[in-house]
Amino acid sequence: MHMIQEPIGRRLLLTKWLCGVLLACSAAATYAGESRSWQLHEFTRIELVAREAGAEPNQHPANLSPDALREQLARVRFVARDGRQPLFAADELAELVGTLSQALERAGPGDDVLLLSSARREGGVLGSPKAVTARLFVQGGALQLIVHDTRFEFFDTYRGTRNPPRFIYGSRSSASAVVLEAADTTSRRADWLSIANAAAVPAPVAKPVEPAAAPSKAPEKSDDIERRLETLKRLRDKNLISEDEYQQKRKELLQLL
Amino acid sequence: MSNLARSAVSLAASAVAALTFGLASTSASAVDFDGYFRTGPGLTAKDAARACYNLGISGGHYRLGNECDFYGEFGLAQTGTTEGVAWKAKVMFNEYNGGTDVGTSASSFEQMYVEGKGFDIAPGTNFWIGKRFYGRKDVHILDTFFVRMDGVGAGADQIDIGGAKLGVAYFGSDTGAGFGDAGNGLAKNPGSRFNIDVTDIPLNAGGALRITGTFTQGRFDDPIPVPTPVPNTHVGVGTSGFGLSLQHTQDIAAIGGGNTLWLQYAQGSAGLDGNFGTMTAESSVKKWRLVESLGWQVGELGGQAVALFGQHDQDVINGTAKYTEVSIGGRGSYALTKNFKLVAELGYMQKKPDGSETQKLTKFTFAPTLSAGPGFWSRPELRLYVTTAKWNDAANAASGLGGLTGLGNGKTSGTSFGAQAEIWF
Repeated sequence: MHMIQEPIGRRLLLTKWLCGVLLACSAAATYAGESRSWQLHEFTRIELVAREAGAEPNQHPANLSPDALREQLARVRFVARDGRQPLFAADELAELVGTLSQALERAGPGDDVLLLSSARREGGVLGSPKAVTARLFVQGGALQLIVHDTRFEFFDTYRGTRNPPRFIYGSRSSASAVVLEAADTTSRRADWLSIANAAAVPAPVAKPVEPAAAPSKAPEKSDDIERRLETLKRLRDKNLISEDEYQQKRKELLQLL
Repeated sequence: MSNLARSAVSLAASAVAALTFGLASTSASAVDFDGYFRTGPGLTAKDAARACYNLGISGGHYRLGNECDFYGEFGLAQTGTTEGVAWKAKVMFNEYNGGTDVGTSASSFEQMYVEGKGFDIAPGTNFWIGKRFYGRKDVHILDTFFVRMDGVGAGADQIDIGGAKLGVAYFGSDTGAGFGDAGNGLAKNPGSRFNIDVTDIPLNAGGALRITGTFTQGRFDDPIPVPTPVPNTHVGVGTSGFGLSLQHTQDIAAIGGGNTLWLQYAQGSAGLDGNFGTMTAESSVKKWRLVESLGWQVGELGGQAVALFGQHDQDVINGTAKYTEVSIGGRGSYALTKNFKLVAELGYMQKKPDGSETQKLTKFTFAPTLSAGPGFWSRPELRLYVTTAKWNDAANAASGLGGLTGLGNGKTSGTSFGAQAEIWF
């Protein structure tokens, strides 16, 4: 976290005021050094967003070396129609890991990392870019990777209609159709890998806990989860929550096991 | 330096840049390469250039198997984030010949700009300066951008205003993207344009509204009428103008596509598309149009359809009568295999000037097509086509001595054949 020096802070206050009056600049202004979004190409970016509602706090900030990230993510493959393919190309990963490492180190417990990575994966420069969309965070001492799209073919439609593409990222609460696999990882769901060997060590930097999307909780024990499941069932039986709410919450609790 | 020589230099420079920076790579230093081109031979009649069929209304023309020009655009961009600021620098040049693929073409830089987002005083705002395509939204089958604020300017956009995005921009006197001979043939009628563009206004589920305002002012005053525009001279008196465009886009998941509806109004020197219009049109001259466009992809069947109605006031200064315009048509594709599609396009256009007979044109094209994929938007495409068109005498008369096709044979129907490649990347 950059602490803004007082003179700079005053100047920023003034410029933000001018900015607000003259340009209607974003109210969520932050100092430039605190980037939460990294644009690498037109359709390749890494950004920090508030973690999903109801999710456990993440173990952020985390130190994951770019080399370890590259080694682990290079092993991730997905099941395609014509066999298994690496999720990322080697040069694609080489570009991403430095920024991913930076994002995880800058993230707070209330942040997830969203990854959009587009590349011309075949056909050379004349091939249409295809995108990987994923959510990453560190929990349980492991890097969690949830993938929504492995080869999203957005470009032709975007180019033909000029409608901005809408990218959907992986989610803890709803599975995508993606099937991932990688050696030395734990599959929490077909589209969700827990990569323990990525050396997800909490960063030594002191960083205040950022506001989380849900109240912070200690890591769950199985007894606690069982108790919460019973409570949940009781609430449903008394019609205090709907069946959908029951199933949604039940799924979240089971994922904590 | 001749246009040909300039073109060669441009192409060579781009090729060198492409090789130098490794365009196929995704490495951090890689330059993004994008572009579009279409090319291919055509034939209409013995001893004549190939013909294309168009009425010249504001909604463009039905383009499949109906493009007599030569066009390509090639862009290089570098994007990167340094100290929290995401920068992008882009250049793009085009090659264009309005009449034929054969022989020379003119080169022009269509885009050359820098933008940045993440500055400490306004981290959510994107600032840019330069010459660029801006705010474009088109109907592809008509080859027409119904919003197109292109030009040389400066602005700020992506400003968050409670769920929607605001963009403001000033543009100088460029009247467009500089097609043709790099602007040398354009009358030098300087003007100023200010655009306000509010996008992504959430209106309904899957739907968004866009409101684009345009304010123009011609900055020249030469009251001496010049019958034929002379390059590099002022022509007439610059006027003020105002335009308002409402655009609604709607995702329609059930048909794998969406809908776009425009209601557009402009007067004076403002154009309906958010750009400059006729810089000498009196400020009281009004025009409007309603445009509806639908796109779909249901299994093997994909397509795009459009309907347009517009009305334009009489422009005494520039000698045009009041007229109404109509255009309705569509293109459909059916994938027989992953790489082979049958594509057809049917379009009807009409223009009714006050006091004159209605001009009418109907055009149909059939095009067996090889493609990278089965989708309607899959490119590249390699197509063979046959186009047949029928029009009336009024359309011939309105087009001058050469008639609608320019062939000057007095006919009111025609057929063209050809092959064409189209690619974007």
